[in-house]
Amino acid sequence: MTTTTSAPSVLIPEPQEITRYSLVDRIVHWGVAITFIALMLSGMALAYPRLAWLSGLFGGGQTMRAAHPWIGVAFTVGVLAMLVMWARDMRFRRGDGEWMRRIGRYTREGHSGLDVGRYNAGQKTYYWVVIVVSLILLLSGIPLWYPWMLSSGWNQWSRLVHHAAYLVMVGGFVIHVYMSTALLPGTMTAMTTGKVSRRWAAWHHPRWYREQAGKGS
Amino acid sequence: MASLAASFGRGAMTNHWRDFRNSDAFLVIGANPAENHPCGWKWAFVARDERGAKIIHVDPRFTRTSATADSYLAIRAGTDVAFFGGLINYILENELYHEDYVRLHTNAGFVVADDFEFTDGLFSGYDDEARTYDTTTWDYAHESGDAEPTDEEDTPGSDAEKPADPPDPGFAVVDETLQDPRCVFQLLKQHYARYTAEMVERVCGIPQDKFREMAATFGATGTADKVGNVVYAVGLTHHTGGLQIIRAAGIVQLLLGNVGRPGGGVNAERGHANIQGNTDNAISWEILPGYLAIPRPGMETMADYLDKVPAKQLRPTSINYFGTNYAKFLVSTLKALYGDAATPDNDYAYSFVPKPAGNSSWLTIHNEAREGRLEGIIYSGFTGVTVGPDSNRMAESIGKLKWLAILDPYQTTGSEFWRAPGIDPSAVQTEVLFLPATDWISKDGAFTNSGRWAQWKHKALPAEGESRDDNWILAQLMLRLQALYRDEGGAFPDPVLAVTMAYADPGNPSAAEIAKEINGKDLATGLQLSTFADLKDDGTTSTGNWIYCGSFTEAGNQMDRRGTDDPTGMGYFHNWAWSWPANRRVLYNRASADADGRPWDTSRAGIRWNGTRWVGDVPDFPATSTPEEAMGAFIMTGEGVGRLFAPANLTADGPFPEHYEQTESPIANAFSAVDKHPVAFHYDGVDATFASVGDPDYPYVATTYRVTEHEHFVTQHVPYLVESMPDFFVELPVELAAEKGIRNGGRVRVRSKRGEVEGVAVVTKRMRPLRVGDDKIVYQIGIPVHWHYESGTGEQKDSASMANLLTPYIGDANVRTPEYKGFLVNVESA
Amino acid sequence: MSTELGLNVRRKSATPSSGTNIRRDGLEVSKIVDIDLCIGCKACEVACKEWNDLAVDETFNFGSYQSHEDLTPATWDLMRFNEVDLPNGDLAWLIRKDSCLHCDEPGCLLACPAPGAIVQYENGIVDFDQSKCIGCQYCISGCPFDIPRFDSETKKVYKCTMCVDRVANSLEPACVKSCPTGAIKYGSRHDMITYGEEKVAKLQERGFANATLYNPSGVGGVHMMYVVPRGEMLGEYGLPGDPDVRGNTSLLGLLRNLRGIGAIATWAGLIGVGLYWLRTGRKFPPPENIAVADAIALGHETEPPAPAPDAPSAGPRDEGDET
Repeated sequence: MTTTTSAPSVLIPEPQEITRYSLVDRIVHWGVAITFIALMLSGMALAYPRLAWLSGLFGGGQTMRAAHPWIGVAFTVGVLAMLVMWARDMRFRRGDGEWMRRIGRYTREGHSGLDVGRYNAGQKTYYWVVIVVSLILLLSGIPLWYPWMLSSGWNQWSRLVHHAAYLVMVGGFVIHVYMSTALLPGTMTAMTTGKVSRRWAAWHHPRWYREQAGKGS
Repeated sequence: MASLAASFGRGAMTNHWRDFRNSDAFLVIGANPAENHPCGWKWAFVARDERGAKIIHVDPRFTRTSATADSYLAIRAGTDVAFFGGLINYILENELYHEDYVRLHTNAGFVVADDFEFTDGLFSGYDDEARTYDTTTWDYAHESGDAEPTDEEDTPGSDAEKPADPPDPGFAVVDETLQDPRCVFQLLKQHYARYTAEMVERVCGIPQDKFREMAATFGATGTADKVGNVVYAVGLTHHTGGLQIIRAAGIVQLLLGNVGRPGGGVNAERGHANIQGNTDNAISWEILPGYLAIPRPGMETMADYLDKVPAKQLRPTSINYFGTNYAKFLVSTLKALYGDAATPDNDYAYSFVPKPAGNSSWLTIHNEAREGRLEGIIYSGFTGVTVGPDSNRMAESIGKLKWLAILDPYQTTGSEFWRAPGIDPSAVQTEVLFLPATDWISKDGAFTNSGRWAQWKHKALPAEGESRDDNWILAQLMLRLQALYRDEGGAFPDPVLAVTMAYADPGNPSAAEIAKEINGKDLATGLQLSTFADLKDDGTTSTGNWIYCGSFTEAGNQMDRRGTDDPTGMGYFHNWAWSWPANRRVLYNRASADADGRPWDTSRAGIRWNGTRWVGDVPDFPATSTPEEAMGAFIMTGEGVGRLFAPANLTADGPFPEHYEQTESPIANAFSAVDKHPVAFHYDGVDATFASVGDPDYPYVATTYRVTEHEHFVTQHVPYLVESMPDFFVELPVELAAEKGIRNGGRVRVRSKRGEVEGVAVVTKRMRPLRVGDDKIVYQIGIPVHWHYESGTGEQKDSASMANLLTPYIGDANVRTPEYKGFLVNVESA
Repeated sequence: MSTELGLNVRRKSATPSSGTNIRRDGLEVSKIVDIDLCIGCKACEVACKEWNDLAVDETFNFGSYQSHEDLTPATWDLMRFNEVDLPNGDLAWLIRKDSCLHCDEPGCLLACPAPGAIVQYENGIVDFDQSKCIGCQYCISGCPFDIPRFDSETKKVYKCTMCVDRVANSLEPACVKSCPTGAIKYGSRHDMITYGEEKVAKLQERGFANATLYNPSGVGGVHMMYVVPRGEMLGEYGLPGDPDVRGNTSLLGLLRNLRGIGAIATWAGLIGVGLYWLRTGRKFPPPENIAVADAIALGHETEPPAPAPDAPSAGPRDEGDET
């Protein structure tokens, strides 16, 4: 974390970094992230015979089979927490439609040129997809947890749905990780220290930046 | 079994299981072979697969046999004589009978004496007071004393099989044309003319068209190239008219020419692995081993006995083998029983044999106990409480004994009756002695199956706990009784003291020793005999049971043979085990051939005359008696032929089967004014326990039965079998259940006038309501017998109801087999 | 169950290339249940429990001759009873031995994620190795005949082994040996098919126009076939008319396709992202002063004029500043 040491002292002092996520936010995020990764790996071991070796990460197939649903429960709790904590900020607003139209430009340039608030429409979409798909995973997972309670037709449909939902989640997850680590420098700190640079904030979330700057004065 | 003897001369299944493969049609009635005789029944399926045989099932219940049959007719319980009568009538009216056979091998042409009559349900000679028949009018017309000369030419057969001189009353009069209005054939027609298909529908509840279709199918076997098979079990015997029902089946088969032929016969399926062996060896009170009659008062000497008991030769062509050789069998039996104490001087100890005046059936024995005339009973493999009938009455009866000894591998309702549910043990004074006996798997011995095959088996498991073989228990009892008589004397100790106990260890004879004793030996040489033809009436031979003579010879234990060669391809398997008599596989097999000794159907030869002797199965006939001699095929009857008409005292209730309603019936008899069986014996006080005809309090017909998962009461101790059929249940029609608000799988209570049971309701389409009489709907209910208050194992231990709490205390008119298969009840949701 | 008994393995669950067959013996065995001969006596049911020494289930009569309402972890063979009215007013009491059909394409094995928990031998027998079972019960959902049963005590799944331990020692399965009427036959698959076809022809002669040999191709054929006299009543017998684990439109097929698509999509996505990154590299924001100025400018465009926050003056560009 460097600051411009050469900055003139006449400048109005203001924080070089802006707080984006509280400690609780970050705990929830990483809880969800870790459980998701565990679920993804164990799920892959369950779904793809060639990846059965992944069960070794979980102490063997039996343990993995027993653990997967319980990890799923923990994951669901985290997702619910995210729902409670962030839903307000994730509401779609005017301007989100325009962002969506500019998704091609965003993809090419990493920037939409719009007056984006705390979250852009892509982030909001990802958020709601995670919420909804998590719910689907939960609902389709319960019959797989206690399969003997339902007929085998039910279980087959559950497997199909569970797997389709998993694919959506994994797709989103790859993009999410790629964008927040490799593609957009300055993003990762939001979930580590909880802070982002003004430069990052002003560029990616100008409206949110102004709100934060206003608060800080 | 007495019924088969009345028709054919021997009381046993005429054919054998393996022979079912040779049948073209099966009429299965009062039996459920798919469930109760699955191993033998497979041969019916083979016949169907190989020769397109038709399987017809007639039963009150749609069972697993019905499920696998080609057609099924639901019949009202206990109306089997009406059914067979209808079939007889159909066969006669449509001339489906096998005419050549009927002329040659039945008594169709025998002329019946003029004073024989049948009027409105009763035969001549009925005594209203005593409820018995004087059977003297049920006889043939006889030729005057010195009728036709007998053929004195010596037959090449053994002396024993030579016809005897004409008997006292003279030979029977026979009209070969069958036209004489008093001949059996004409009387038969007359008697069964009333048994129309319409009447069958009214009485049995079988729609006419279905009945005719069935009759045409089975009637089609009345030809030389077709053979039909009547298969029955206790569904026919467990009625007051049980004997007559089976007689009726015999008449059908004689008319169709199906007796004595491979694939034919009247085939009694015995309910127990060894019930045939039990019967052969005198489990019934009225016989000695080998169906020799028990002497009666008035037969003080053997001469009296031999004068009154053996059948008389009624035709010159009758071999009358049994009647002729009776003395040899009796004397040899007495030699086996009393050994050296049986001498020519003392009439071979004939006087030692009891000569009971009364009846000693098990119903009577328990009635004696009830009335305080009996001190104790030994139950060996029997338990009156569950066997019934009227279990409450049974329990009361044995509760009046001083002691009751039980020989059984497991505790039974007999051994535990004093602490049964609802019984105060302190109020029961009977001392119960439980003697644990080994079960069948822990001892050697032979089972005689329904088809008369005696098959030796070997001990497979060590005896459990302190259990002992029955051999040991009974020998010990005998030795101790003898010691007591020797030490303390008694009224008449001789019969007990004279009993031979000539075993290596008299206190523990082996099964093989007993088997050898049953076979018999030449007392002069000490060698085992190989055939009953060698038995003598001069005290030089012995046999424990003459029909088993040949089962354990000098060549060894014939019952232990396991040869699988079948040179004729007919499935006789003469080197597999041994079947009585003389290792014959099909009884009366001379009837499988025509007058010239040619098989009726050459593709299915029983025996045939090859010019010098009879070959094929072991001939049930003198092996070298030529067709020209024209000797009768039924060698055990005085007539030499099969009996459509059973004369004289062969039955207690009539020469022709006649339909009567059951003791408890929903409707009156449609055939005559005689509703119920006229000579069924009513014990004192039982009438009050019977519902009346059409009793509104007990409107439904119930029948009892067994299921394949269990064997009587003993498999309640086998966990896997309890698992496979866990609970006492009651089968009832969907329609009745709907009326009464009974749910499938719910609880139902069934009451008769004698008791009540409660179990799981199995509401099923398989119990069909029947339309009888003038549009009356009869509901029938099925109640299996396997459960009791010692039911279940381990966690499934369960005090269940007993079917026989409901059954009436009345038996067959001839042998007092209880009427388990049809009685009245009411039902309600429990 | 847990041993391979010296038999050749055709394949194992979740274990690609698991076949071992180098030997000559390629004989496939099969049972065939001739329903025409079956009397529903349950001897096979009991023999199965006897031979495999299975626990006694506590049963109760639920208004039927059927011993258990359904298969259980300790009951691998169950006689099912069903009363059906026939068009002519008669009654049929359909009785069927229900146990594993040993499919040639076993849906259970295809669905199983636990390596080696389900083994298909070269002779056609499909067996479970409970020591490797992870209790996921995918085999249950994979089975078109609803055969495997999960035991909540051991957390494993159980089913008929076709007495593989007897078969490996040249004995027939226990159910076959116990059958009193010969309704359950056992032999080479070829012989059993021949028997079945001949029997079906006989049944058709006897008037069962729809008699059929049940050997469904959707599961590659089975190693316990049925001769069904009333072929029009497969549903009433409890047999699926057209079980399918191979077709792309079956549930299992859909799942298989989805898995394939998922695998491709996952790889494609990862590679695509990698290529994208190689081409475009990282997207740094402009220097702070420009970014802030932009942000403020955007604020003026979209919001009513407000006291502008004091923007920091343009500082030195600091290309590396991303934290």
